[in-house]
Amino acid sequence: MSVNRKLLSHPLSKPSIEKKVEKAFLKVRTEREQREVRTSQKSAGKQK
Amino acid sequence: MARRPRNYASHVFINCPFDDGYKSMFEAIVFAVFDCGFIPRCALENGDSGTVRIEKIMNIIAVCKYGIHDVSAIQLDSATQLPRFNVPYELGLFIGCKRYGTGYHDEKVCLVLDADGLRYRSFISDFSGQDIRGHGNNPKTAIAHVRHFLAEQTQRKTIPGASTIFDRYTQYLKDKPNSVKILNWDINDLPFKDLQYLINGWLSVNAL
Repeated sequence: MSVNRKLLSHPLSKPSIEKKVEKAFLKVRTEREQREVRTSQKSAGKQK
Repeated sequence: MARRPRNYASHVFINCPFDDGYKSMFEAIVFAVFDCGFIPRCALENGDSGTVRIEKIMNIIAVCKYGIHDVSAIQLDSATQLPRFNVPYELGLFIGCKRYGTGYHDEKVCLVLDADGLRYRSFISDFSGQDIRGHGNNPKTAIAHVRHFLAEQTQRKTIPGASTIFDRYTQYLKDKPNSVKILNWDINDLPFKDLQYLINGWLSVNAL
């Protein structure tokens, strides 16, 4: 569910570092989601 | 009269201990403030050695409508056998600014936390009659107090529930080590600036 809210940046934040950190977390999230898909496929395979 | 600072009603002054034993509580509070849609401000945010520390703190208090003060670390320092008074001192500055400051300063409101909600009567008895919330040194409880305080004070409808924030905080803690590795940062030595980059970065990527 989207609550349409604005995330505020700290006034001393540098956009270039913000981007870099977001990129790192995006990579981590993608890897996590891929792991979760593999795990659920594995357990579905076992049930069959 | 001085002009109301930009985003005054979104800035939250975090006044708490900064020692290693409090790190997880601090991170949980900073996370909760960001996740509620506010900006946490604290004395650690600016490494400028040219400004006297108390001057920095007073400048931050001046631009924050909200304050979160955790007076739980009043125990004696093992080396000096003396208590640390920075948190009660800055709490006094915040309340003084609200009481004697002009214009928008009287809108200031604060949340005072302690390990136990009644213990303050023994060491800061002038504060009797105020509402102090006990967190039991538990980040989950601290997150709930921060969330409820900001939701009650602002009536914003976009603030997630306390358990949602805590679940997100738990996931952030799981994702943090790998992200820090990618960034070539040191997880054991993260200045406040980097911590807020990490929290805000995680929240941007995992928006509700």
